[in-house]
Amino acid sequence: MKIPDRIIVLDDDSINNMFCRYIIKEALEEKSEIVMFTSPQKALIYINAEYAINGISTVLFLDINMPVLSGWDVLDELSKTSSAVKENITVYMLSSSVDPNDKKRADKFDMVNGFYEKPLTVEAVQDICNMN
Amino acid sequence: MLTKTKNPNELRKTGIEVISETSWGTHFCNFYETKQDMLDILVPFFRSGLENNEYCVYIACSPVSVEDAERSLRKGIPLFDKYLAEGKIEVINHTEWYLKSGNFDPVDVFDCWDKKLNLALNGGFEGLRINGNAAWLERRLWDSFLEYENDLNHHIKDKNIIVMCTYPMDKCFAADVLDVAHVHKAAIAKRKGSWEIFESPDTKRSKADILKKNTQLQDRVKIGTQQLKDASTDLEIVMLKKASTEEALQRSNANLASIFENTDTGYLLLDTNMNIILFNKIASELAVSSFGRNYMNGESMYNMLDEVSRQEFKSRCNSVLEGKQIKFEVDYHGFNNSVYWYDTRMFPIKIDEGKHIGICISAEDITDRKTRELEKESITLDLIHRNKDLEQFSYMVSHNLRAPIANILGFSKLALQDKYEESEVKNFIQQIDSSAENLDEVIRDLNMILQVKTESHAKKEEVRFAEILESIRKTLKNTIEKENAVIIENFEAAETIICRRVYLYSIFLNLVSNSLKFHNTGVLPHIEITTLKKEDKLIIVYSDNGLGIDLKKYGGKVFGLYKRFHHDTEGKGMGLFMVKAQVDILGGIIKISSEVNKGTEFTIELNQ
Repeated sequence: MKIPDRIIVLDDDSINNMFCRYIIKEALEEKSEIVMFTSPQKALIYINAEYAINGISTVLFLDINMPVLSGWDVLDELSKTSSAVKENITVYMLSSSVDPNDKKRADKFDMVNGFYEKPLTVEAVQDICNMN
Repeated sequence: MLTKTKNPNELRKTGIEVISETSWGTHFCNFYETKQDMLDILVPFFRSGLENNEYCVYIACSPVSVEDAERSLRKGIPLFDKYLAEGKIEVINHTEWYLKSGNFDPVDVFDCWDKKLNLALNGGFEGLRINGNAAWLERRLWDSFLEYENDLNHHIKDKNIIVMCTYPMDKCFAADVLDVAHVHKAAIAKRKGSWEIFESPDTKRSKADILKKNTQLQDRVKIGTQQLKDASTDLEIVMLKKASTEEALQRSNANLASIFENTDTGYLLLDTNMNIILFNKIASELAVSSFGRNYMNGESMYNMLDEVSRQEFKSRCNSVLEGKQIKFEVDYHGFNNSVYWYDTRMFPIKIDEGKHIGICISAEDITDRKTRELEKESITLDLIHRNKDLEQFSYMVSHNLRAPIANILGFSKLALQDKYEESEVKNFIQQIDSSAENLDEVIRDLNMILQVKTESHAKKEEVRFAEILESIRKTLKNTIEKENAVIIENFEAAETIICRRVYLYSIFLNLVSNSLKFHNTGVLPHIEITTLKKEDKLIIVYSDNGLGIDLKKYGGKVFGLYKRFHHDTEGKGMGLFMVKAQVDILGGIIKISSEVNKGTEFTIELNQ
């Protein structure tokens, strides 16, 4: 895909979020808007509100292990949303350790395009945006 | 009764060679020329009669006197005097027989015959044997005497009498001889030095008849004897066969009985009305252990069962009597509170295809096996459970160890680049520091968890619940006061428990800490702790009025490591994990029920 208009990072670990902001900036030279969430509930509220009308191409980096709502719960919620959401948001799982079972589970969701292990790298972001 | 007749066809030995044998009722004559001729016949005639238990009468007349006659007989019959003394023979003069009234009167003479025969038969003799000499006969009496002789044939016909009349040849004319012979059954005479017999056709015929009948009789006896023999042989064979069948039956009975009594399986046989017919030793033992008493022959099986089992048993019996075989495992709660398991089979007893005469029930005690199976099942379930817990544990550990490491790696790389300002690099280092601290915390947690597991060998002691709660109150004093929390205890039913103090303390500390952390905003935390005893268990009921946990959503993860169910609150998901781990080590069970924003209740079941 082209460089997306927006990149959302959803992870309860704020240190990781901060790190991702640096990496994305470095990779895309501030061409994309960067939005950070540590609370899945708040992220879902934002997404539902933001994508109902606007067609903004978006990449979502989604953590798996979060309290209250896990990354899987977020994917389940997104599946239930309007087609506009699904058309505009491409999901990449971002997890601290890669369990093969998690990878298999992620493959079942159409919205999930890939699986990355932390820490996120400049190359990974540029790959996603077809810049290499 | 005048006469008794025995065996009219019986042949008697005459003692006279030419006649040999004759039947009772025979009346024959003998013509003699000399006295010696007469004696030649007379001696064997009487000897044979005496030897065959006949009463003998010799009617003598001149020229032979009574004395002459006795002397002659004594010569020819060695035991003559003995016979005479015993009254078996008498010699009388003809006047005492033929001329009793002085004249010859046939009526008198017949009367004389009858009386003599009666005496003989009553005296135990077979019959009467008589010789009369006609030498006294005068010519004038000749005709009436011959008439008498002729009547005599009829008179003695059916009587046990043999009569020989002796006529002197010198007193007979040729016609006389013919006349005399005619009125006798047979006549013997000495001719050319040897005795000859002239039988009348009647006599010949009847003798032949008797012989023939005798032969026939003998044949019949022979056939009858053979038939009897055959029948007896048949009977013997039948008896032998029966004996061998009986023996075979006995053998097979004995074989079956030895199997029946020496198997490990209990057998109980019922008739179609559920009455007990037969049972073996093992069945008795099983009955005693599961019903408290032995079976009784003829008793209804229903008597052994309670109402619920009776219904079930009845429906099973009905299907068996329809020809089905049933197999099931059944447990009986014995009288000593123990449970017995039986592998039970029920099948119909058939005699003919389709005809059932009863029900056979076999029961094998599988209590040991079943107990092992159930134990194994529970162990397996426990293992599966523990394995899942372990998987979850290792997943969380790897995840939570990797997360700070990923951050450290990431920020280190950024810091090593030249393009960031000094202030930014300082920020990176700060993030690395925080991550390192997080990492350290995770490792400390792991240490603690491992510590808990290794402390499982700590000493058991009597622990007072009140004392434990007092320590908790001291430890959490500041938070309790800050949140205005209320803790209500009720340890009256069970004040103490024998267990490892450190675990009980940790369990209470984690639960109370959770209640204080996850309380509803604006609602004062209210905690209740109650202990009670149930059978051999001690139960702790812990409840609060806190945030609660959505168990529909998180039910399976409640006690997982690093599982958090609330956002924006402190806590890293260690508390309930630790509570569960410690309850496990104490050999107890913990259950949770909860309602979101209403509160949570934990029930902890421990062995006393």
